[in-house]
Amino acid sequence: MAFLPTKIPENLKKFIRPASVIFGVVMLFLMLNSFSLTSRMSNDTQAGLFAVGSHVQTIYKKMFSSKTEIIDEGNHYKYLVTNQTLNEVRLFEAEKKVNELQNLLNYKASQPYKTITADIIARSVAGESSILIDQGAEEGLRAGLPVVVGDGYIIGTIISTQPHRSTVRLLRDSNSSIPSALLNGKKVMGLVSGLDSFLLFMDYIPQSEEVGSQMIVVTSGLDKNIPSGLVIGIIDSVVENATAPFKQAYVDPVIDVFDYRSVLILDPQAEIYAE
Amino acid sequence: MLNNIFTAFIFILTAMFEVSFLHTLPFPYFIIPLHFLIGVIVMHRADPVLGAVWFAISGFFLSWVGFNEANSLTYIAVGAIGYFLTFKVFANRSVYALIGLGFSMYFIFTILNLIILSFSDNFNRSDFLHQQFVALFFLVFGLYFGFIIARYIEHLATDMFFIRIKP
Repeated sequence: MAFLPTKIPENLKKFIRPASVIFGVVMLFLMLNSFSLTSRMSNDTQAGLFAVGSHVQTIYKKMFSSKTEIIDEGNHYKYLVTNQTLNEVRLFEAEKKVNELQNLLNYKASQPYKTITADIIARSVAGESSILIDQGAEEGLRAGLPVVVGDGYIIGTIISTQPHRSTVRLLRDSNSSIPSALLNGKKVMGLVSGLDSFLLFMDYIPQSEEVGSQMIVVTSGLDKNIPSGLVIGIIDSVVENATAPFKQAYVDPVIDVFDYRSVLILDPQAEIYAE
Repeated sequence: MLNNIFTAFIFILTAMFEVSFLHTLPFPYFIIPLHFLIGVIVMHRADPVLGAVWFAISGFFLSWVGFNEANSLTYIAVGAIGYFLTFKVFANRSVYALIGLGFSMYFIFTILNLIILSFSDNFNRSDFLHQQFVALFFLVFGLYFGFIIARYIEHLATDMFFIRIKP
């Protein structure tokens, strides 16, 4: 055909080969990840790297804690330095992992819904507050499902899924908002949203309701995908404004999601979607 | 051919290492731009074409294996600019040329991201600039030691596998 080049320019040739090899290998890697076996291998690699990073973060936090704590733990760390330091830290991490999984297992056994356990394999460091988990659409996940840790602390909701991975938007993200309820003797409805910081913000609390510090905030169940009773946090402080139509409050999530490596996804509507 | 395949595997491994391990660490360590740093070393020490392709695919691949707050187009632009700088400005194979190339590419990368991300609602300019300044420090630091390690690997590869790196 007349309009096709008969000879590839020399300048272009030196781009084509390396570009095609690297592009081909990367695309092959991505295509292989649509198969569960290879996807499991890459997810396990990333989960392992995430676990090692969390391990380092735990040690870093312990090393740079307050002066009082350092003095109190001084003798203990002297012992660690001189006697089997690495084995002590490994044992501590192993116990922490076992406790974490045991809590998840106990909570999972107590739930009437379908539950899926997943490992965290990556997290965002700027912009949106999100994490990546190693379960996806093939394992039955879909957007909107709640993600919990420990004894039922909700940390976020799934916003998108791939075949074997899912993105979870954390509650702290400013785009996150879930229907909530305040346990002050009766169930007072509100809406909890993120502020891109550690504290959350609860709005639309009726002015007539009494709101105080340390009151527990849970999910209300108004979202059909998020069951009621999942703990969001406790009231940290109340924004008093008698002229505003609603009361507002800051909510302390109590837990730090980045201390966990495994999460549980709840699916209250599994039977509906299975039909 | 072997060079290209080896570079592709390093590309995949450094991307996974950065998003899964480095991003787990506390501040300031999660800002270390390892993938960018290795890309600059590949562009300067190995092959500018490989380096340009590295950056062209980086944005997309980092978004797939984890999270990438920068725009994919900025990576493509930085790769093209880096390719030009490698031949016209930092053609010398000294450590100073490597650091100059890395510094220039990351500076342009920051400016482009600042322009594009400014249109985003969640964007915090002061936090972003603070993080980029710290990342630049790690980049320069890493390039200096990366140069030493890259030369060692070149000699080792040449002796063991007869792989020739283009001068």
